[in-house]
Amino acid sequence: MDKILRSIFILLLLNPLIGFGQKKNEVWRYEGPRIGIDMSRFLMPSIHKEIQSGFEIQADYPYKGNFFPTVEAGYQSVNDLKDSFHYTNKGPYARIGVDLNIKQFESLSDNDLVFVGVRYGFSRFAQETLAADFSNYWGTIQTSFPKKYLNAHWGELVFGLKGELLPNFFLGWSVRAKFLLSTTKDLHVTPYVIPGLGYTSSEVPFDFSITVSYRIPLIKTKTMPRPLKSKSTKRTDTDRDEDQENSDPNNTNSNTSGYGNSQY
Amino acid sequence: MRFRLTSLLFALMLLHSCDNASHCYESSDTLMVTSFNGNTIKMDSILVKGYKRNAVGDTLVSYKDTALIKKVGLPLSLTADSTGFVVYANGRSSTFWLKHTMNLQLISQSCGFAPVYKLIATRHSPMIDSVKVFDPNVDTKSAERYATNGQNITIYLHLTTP
Repeated sequence: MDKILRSIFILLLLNPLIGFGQKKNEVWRYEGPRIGIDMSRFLMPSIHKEIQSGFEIQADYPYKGNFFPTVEAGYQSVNDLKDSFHYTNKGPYARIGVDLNIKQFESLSDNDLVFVGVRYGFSRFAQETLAADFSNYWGTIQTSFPKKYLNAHWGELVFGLKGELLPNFFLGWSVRAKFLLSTTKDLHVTPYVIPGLGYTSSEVPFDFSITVSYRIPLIKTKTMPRPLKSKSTKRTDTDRDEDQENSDPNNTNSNTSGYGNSQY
Repeated sequence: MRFRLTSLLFALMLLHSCDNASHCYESSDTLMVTSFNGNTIKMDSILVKGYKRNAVGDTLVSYKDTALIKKVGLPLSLTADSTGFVVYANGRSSTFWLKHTMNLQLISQSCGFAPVYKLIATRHSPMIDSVKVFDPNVDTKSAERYATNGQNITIYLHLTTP
């Protein structure tokens, strides 16, 4: 219950951001690299009662309108102090992948995304067991295991939303199903948390991220991204007529329907 | 879109708040599943202690009606590389030793560490006919694995009629 109340409080803190509208008088469409930070990493210590802390930055860039090649990198540490053991691990991680926007843009000023994506993730991290003990009929053993560097590789399927709340400022979330591909073996400790992947106890760990990001408006354009389905639909004479109208520089109606000029 | 963002974000946070409690639901006891065989002679009682463990409360197994015992779980030493047991059956005692390796391994975040053994060799006193190792790997799942069929080792005893 305590955690739920804390989550509501955090949401209320974020809510003023959401309250601002997207009212724009600008008819240009802006594009450029988007750089963000994953706020959920900061919430981790309060959500997962123990142990995790870290940060993550994300960046993407539009490619052909609906594709967003993405890079994510971060650092995560775990410090788990239990009655019978004390375990730590920490290290950087990175993911590369691509998001595909599955929502059609409604106007030049519409930058909201509904996306699906894939990621390949990699982490090299150090784990150490500072103390471990076990007791049975014959007595008690107390030991520790020194720092060891391990590698992990995994894949992710991503689904999420990104909404432009203020000009060039985006708030988004995503849910992720993760698949551990391989990890270095350790005789004593199989890591139960991997930086960037999360808990390994379930076969398909789920995670989420809440991203606040800023788009650097490098490209100013009147061009609407081509809808995904347009390639597969048959073109008719009417479509050709519309294309000719859109390509006419004297035609002012072409601003919101796309395929116009770009300014850098 | 703002509504969707807000509502789904809210739902996600609630969902993630309902985290599983960290309780240990697995066995963290490592026991070597051992069966005793008196060949043709019925055992009227059996008692097992650790070697040189004679204090009160050091008895590991004590059965009067041996018809009930099929197999027992015996703990192995955490610090030594061999473990000895003394078996009392039909009024006679006999001893057997097991040489083994031991690794302390993390079972899970909630269960912590537990030892995992590999049996290397056996030795026994003349009162024991033989010790047969069926599965040298002794871990936290051994007891569950051999709950109905199988065992790590079988002790064949030389028994006399009581």
